[in-house]
Amino acid sequence: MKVSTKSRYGMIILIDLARHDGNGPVQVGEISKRQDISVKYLEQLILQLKKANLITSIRGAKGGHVLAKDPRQITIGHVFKIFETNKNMGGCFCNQEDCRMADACRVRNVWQEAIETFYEKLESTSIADIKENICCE
Amino acid sequence: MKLSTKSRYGTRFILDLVQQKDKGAIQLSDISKRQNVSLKYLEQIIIPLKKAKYIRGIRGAKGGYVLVKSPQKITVGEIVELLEGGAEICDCCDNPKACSKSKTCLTRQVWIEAAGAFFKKLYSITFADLVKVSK
Repeated sequence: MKVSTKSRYGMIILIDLARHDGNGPVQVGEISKRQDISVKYLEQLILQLKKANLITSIRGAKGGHVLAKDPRQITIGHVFKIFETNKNMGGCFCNQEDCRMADACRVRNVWQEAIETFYEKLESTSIADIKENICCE
Repeated sequence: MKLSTKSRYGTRFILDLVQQKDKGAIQLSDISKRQNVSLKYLEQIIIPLKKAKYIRGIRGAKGGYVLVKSPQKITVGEIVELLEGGAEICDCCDNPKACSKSKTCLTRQVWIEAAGAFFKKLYSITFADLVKVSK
């Protein structure tokens, strides 16, 4: 069980933007250098973050990307849900029709409870919380 | 992000053994039918469970598998951790050397905490609890 690079890098982009919030638009090239992630991959992820209305892009010579929301309002859980295709971690509780064992399966509730705790943790943390986490500076 | 079928089927396998506990040794083919998991795959899944001494094979005509530990003493968390090969959800979580940025990475801590919460929940549930729920 692993978090995808998409989720991890998606968060890194948002944190990078949050740290430069107020200094005008940030270019992909700058994020790429600072975070050591290829421009090509960053562009893919930014596209998804734009679709989710978390990032706005500004055109022109001084263009770039800025956060579309207050970093306090962007939770890690939200970002995770944008990028993870298996939001229920393979637990079958969400598509009972797809699983022949659904009726007989006794462990479905266990996965559900554990996944809820996992999400509670992610929902309780915002991009701003991480940005201001001084011990990690 | 997904739990592997290994850990999910492994959990069902142990639960099946717990439910059939009073019937002596249980054959894999019976579990395969009941749980709708192929015999071949079950045979793979039980290798680590045997090594870690959760189950024991009994040879002979009435042979099969039995639990070694009592269901109160086996948590879902330990089975999932064993079959997942760890409780980490990022490579750098348990091995900071996996990434040059581990020391300063702001996201690593979040994954560690969230995975911790997830596994804490699973460790709080024993197979005896599961059987109670399913009755």
